[in-house]
Parts: sequence; structure tokens; C-alpha cells
Amino acid sequence: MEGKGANDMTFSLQTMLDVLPALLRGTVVTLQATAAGILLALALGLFLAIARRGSNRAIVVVIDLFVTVIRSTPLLIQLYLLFYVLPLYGPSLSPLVTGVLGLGVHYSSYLSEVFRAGIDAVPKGQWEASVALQMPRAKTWCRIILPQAFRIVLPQIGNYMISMYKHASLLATITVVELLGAALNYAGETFRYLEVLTLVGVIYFIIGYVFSRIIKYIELKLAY
Amino acid sequence: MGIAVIPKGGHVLDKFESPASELPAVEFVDVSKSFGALRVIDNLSLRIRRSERVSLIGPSGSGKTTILRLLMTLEKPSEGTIKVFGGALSAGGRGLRESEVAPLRAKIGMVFQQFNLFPHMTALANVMEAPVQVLRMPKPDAKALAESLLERVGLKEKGASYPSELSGGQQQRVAIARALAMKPQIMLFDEITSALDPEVIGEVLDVVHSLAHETKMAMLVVTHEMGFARDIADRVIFMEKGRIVEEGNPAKLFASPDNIRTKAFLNAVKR
Repeated sequence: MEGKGANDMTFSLQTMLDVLPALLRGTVVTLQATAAGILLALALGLFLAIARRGSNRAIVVVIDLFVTVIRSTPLLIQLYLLFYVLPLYGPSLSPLVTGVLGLGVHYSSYLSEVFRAGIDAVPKGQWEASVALQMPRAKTWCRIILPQAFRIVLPQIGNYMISMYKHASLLATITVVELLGAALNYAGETFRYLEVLTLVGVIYFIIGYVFSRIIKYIELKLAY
Repeated sequence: MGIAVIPKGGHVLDKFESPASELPAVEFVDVSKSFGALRVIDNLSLRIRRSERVSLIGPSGSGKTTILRLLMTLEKPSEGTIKVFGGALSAGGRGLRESEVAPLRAKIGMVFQQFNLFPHMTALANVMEAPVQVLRMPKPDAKALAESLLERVGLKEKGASYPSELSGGQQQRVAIARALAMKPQIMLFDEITSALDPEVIGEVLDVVHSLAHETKMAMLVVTHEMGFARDIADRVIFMEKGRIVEEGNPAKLFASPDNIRTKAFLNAVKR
């Protein structure tokens, strides 16, 4: 902290302005990865939750195993596996696609449990009323059960979305130039870690805050 | 059946052998239902004519509600067969094909103790849902139908309200309108006033009474309101332990029951 580098420690607003365009480009990538990851996690999580409710014992065991393994291992390791190991045996995906896949699959394991709880929380009478109204099974799911389950679990889904958005920074480790990756690239060249990381923190906070407000708004909007 | 006489077309056959109009709306043949070791319905047989109004009374756990739930296919009988207008709706032991059961179940509607309205839909949308989604009725037609049904249950002004904005009595009337929208020929009322505050019970029962006057639906009513059970019914069935103990004309059964257990039950609820 002392000696020749001391001059560099003065906080430079100019540095922040210089790095801003690169960070904003990185932000776009972060948001893309998060959005795609959320969509994948929602779809896969919902699929797992519904498939698990079937009467096929083997499917239940396989899904439980999958969910347990994914939830009990670090996302970072899963990303490394997808990025470094998967291409040896399977397709070689771009870093961003690999990252989205990792985020989506990882979070689908959490969301499947969230959806499961939400579906279970819909009163049995809703199923029975649907039978009494001659509603086919698929229609009952889509029109009656899932809309209610979704409202019940929306706060939890929101939390996981924000968590995923922050977790997207791990994609920097598999060469995706998202927000953190862009910051590290710049800081690595200029050694202006203080300014760059401060700005990164501010950007993460602003978007995260807006995100949580939007989710809060949707919750209120959907309340009945 | 006279297969040799009439070459094809069951409806022609029916005219000779078993006129469709004489088939009972509901028929339970030796039906039993057990939940684990508990035998809720015990070898029960029952026939309900078209347009007949039947009240089921009896102590809690006597199996009244289970009869309605079996009929709505919410439960499956352990033994025996349940027929609707002559067709097998469900049977113990063997599974029936959904494609055969569905048209029979479509003749049945049910109103529940807890209303079971769809909380994420307005009253109007609740009533429109099944006609649009199941019968594929065009939305304007379904809306007109729903509005007329809501008017019929005295809730013309409440179409835009969500269930949470309605009183229990209003919710139950919406539930009745919703069931009517599917034009059932057999209507099941499962303790429809048990979850209601005393002051709104009357408005719901009035709706059911007017339906009894204005429609030809068969009605099965499970209730603890003895006055209602007597006034609505052509026939009252007193059940205990999954069996029919006594049945008959409401005035007769309530005034001078033959069975000592019926007498004891009626005395107990009078108090």
C-alpha cells in the first residue's frame, strides 16, 4: 500500500468515464446471459416439477438425483466442466452459450423445488372444481393450477433471478466478457482496480435494485 | 337385447328394450369404498330418477359426501359399479377408458362446500372458463351465458369482482352459476352452506330452490340444514356408516321415521 504505487491509488473519475463504455457493453452481455439463463431455468425447472409428480417411480428417482447433485455442487465447477470437459466428448459451444446452459441448468434445480412447493400449495379443491367442470388435465394445469402456483412462488423466483444475475459474473471465468470480465480486462491493463471495481459494484447495484423493484411491482400487480 | 331384430343403431333398439328415458339418471350397484381399513361406503345400491331431487342426511362420516365424490369421479369405488344414464361411469377394480367416461361425467355438475372458485379470475371469468375452454364456445356467447347465469343467481352487478372481493354467500352463488354453465343434467350439492355465515345461508338456498322449480335437473343434496333437506327433496335418504338406513318421502321421514336410528339422529339435530 506504500511506495511507488501510491500515486495510482488516488481516485480518478476520468478512469471511470474511460472504462464506462466497456463496462456497459459487458452489462449487456450479463443481462443477455441472465435473461436466457432465467428462461432456461424456468422452463427446465417447471418441466422437472411436473414430471416429478407423475406416477413413474424411475423418473422420480432420476429427477431427485439430478436435482440433488446439481444443488450440492458449486456452479463454478459445473461451468468448468461444461466449458473444458464437455467439448472433449460433445459439442463445442461458445462461451456465452456454455454459460447460459450452466446458469440455466443450475438454477432449474432450485426452481424445480420452488415450483413443486407452489404447485402443492394450490388447494386440492382447485383440481376438484376443474374435474367437476370437465376440464382436461392439460387445461387444468395451464389455466388453473400454474397461474396460481406461479403467483405463490413469484417472490422466490424473483430472489433466484437476482441471485442468478449476480452469479452471471462467474461467466468471466470461462472467458465471457460480461460486466465483471470487461472490468477485469480493463483493470488488468491499467491496474485501476479501485475505480473499475467500484463502478462495477455501482452498476450491479443499480440494475439489481431496479430488478427487485420490478419484481415487487409484478407481485403487487398479480395479487388477488 | 334384440340384436337379431334390429340391424343397427342402438337408439332404435332402445325403443324396444330399454327406453333411454327410463334409464335412471344415477345408479349405484353394490358400491363400496374403503380408505385403508375404513369402509366409508358399504355395499350400497341406489337409483336416482331423472329430475328427481334427493337429500342425503346423516351424521358426519356416514358417507354422504363420498357418494357425491364417487359420482363426480373424484373418488373411485373399491367395488361395484356406478352408472349414469345407463353408461358405466366408474367401477371398482377395472379402469374405464376416459373417452367413455368423459361424456357421462359431462352430464354431472357439482357445487362444493368450500366454493372452490378460481381465485385468479373474476366472477364472470369463472363462469365463462369451462364453456370457453371445454365446450369451445365463442367468447361473446360464453360472456352472454355467464352474464345471464350471474343474473339468475342475483349477482348481475358482480361479474367484474374477484372471489376475494365477494362474501361467502356470493361466492357460493357464483359457484352455482359456474356449474350451471356446463348444463348438467345431474347436479350435486355438497354441504354448500356449511362454510357460510348464518345470515347468508338463505340467499344460497333460495337460489337452489328456484333451480329446483325452474329446471329439470336431477339433484343430489348433502346438507345439515334439515329444513332445506326436507323442502328441496322428493326423497330423503338417511345414511349411517356407509349404508342407507331409511329412505322415503320427506314429510313422512321427518315427521315419523320408521327406524330408531333415524329418529335418534333427527332428535339430535333438532336440539
